[in-house]
Amino acid sequence: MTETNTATGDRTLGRRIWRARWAYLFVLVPAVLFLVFELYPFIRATGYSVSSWTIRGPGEFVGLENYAAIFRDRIFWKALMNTIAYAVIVVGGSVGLSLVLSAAMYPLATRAKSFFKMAFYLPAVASIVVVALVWRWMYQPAFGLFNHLAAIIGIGPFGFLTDTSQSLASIMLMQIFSNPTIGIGASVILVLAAMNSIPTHLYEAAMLDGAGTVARFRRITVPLLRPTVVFLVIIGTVEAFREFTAIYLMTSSSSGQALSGGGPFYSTTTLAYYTYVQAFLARQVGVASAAAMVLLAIVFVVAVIQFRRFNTEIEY
Amino acid sequence: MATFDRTRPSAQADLPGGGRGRLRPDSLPRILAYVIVGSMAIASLMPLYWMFTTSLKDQAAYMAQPPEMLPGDPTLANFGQLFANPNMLRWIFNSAFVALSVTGLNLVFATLAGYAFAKMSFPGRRWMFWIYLATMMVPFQVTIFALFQLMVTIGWVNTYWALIIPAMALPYNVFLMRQFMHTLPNEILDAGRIDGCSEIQLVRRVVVPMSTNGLAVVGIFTFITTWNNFLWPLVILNTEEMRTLPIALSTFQSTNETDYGLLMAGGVLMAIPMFMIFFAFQRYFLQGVTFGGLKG
Repeated sequence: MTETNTATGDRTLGRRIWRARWAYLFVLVPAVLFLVFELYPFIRATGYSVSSWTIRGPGEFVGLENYAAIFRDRIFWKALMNTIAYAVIVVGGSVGLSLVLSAAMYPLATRAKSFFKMAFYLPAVASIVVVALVWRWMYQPAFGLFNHLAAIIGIGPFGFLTDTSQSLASIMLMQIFSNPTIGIGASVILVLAAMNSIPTHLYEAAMLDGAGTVARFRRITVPLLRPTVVFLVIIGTVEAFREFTAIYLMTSSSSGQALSGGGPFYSTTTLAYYTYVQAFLARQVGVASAAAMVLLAIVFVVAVIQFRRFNTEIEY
Repeated sequence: MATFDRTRPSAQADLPGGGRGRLRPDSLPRILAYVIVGSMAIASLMPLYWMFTTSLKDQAAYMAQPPEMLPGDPTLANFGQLFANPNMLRWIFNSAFVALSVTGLNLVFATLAGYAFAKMSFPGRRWMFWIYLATMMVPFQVTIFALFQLMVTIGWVNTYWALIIPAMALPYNVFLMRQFMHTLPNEILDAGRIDGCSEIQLVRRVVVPMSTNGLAVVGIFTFITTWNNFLWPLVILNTEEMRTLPIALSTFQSTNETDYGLLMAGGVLMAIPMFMIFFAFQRYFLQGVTFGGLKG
């Protein structure tokens, strides 16, 4: 944003636009895609959320009836609670674990560090589709690996995905290890990079003042990592509120049977999953659009709050 | 004793690759660190190991109790069965064709738009870029059904068009290229302009050769994301032969009895190209992850 309006004699907007014709040509394709495939559907979706739905498409204007309908729907509230729990635990767990792992990895030899970074990032490369199916197999109650390992240390057997009190937690655990955006793989890389950029003299000064390892970590490392942590939390929250794929793959009894997914007994139905089922299977498009708007509002509020905290400057 | 401990690290910090001013851990904390990180690394890699070994087991072997940690009698039968499906090659083609097309188009359009947003001045640049960034926050669930209706209207349901055209200039890529190109020195661009380069020549002769890292990151990440994409193909594709690999793989699960050997073989097939890309271009992955994060 530095070189705007540099030394052009042109006064009129038309002349300035003509002079910048190459720039407009360069952004033409993204701009058209934005208008046709983002903005237009967005406006239509807003319309859907205040319309009834018929076989031929959107029907008449019904005001906030769809919103009232979702707020009356107990499954919607269940989905909302599941989504919030999911976001808090997956984002919190992943960021917390990444901080611990990074702190433990930081002093290790470079080779060991890059090996571990690779080990944590590899599941993210393998696609959430593949990873979700593998974990579902490991969670399989009768023949799965996890119940076998649990038996070795004398606990279990667990129902995992088939048990209402364990199903969502099972998916959370999988995501913390494997999600390409919010899992520990990407987070550890980011946190380690941030740790490396902390100036050495701060630690030296603290050491001369007699601060121990723990004090230095708490007083120097943690505060200076805050921008990175906030960034991870923003991206992670936005991503967590969209969670659909793993729920679909790990809880529906087979493909095309998505109505049976999100279970057992809605224990893993997230807002994104709820909107999918309402829109594409139940064909309650008005309801689905209203729920999606609520989802957008939550994501927006969370992002703004986090972003304002992010903008409080940190001085070295 | 205490004084001795305190003086050591600052001396080390001067050495390249030294302790960077932190206490060099004595052997016990170091061993503890290796144990913690190492066991987490094993936990992280275990699912992938389990996928590979299960794909090499027949039904009796993968259902054996206790499970065989190493396949006792490895077999490639699952892979044979995979390719016995007449649609298998078509699914691989679909995935590869869509992923390559989307990647190629993104390289072109994200470069042009990223360059315009980073280095050219034009009325509306600031707010256009901000609106663009804001759209990345909008969950796909908000627009997906209206987008689906649009595809119905223009007749793109169950076509490659629906998978390629809306994705041919992804906002995240434009953003990433803009960040990369922001670091290019203006002097070189101005020198090119004085020598009479048009903007498009400037992009081809100067900007692209200087942005190979950015292009590699965008190319690799776009290919992988598109290859792994699930929700949109699930919604828009409705015949067996149009499926991409992830969608086809998800149908291997069945209500009564899932053949886990076959399912895991499918997973291996889908993951192997991604692993090859990862190991060939590892440094770009590190760059891609840190670049999006630190300079965002």
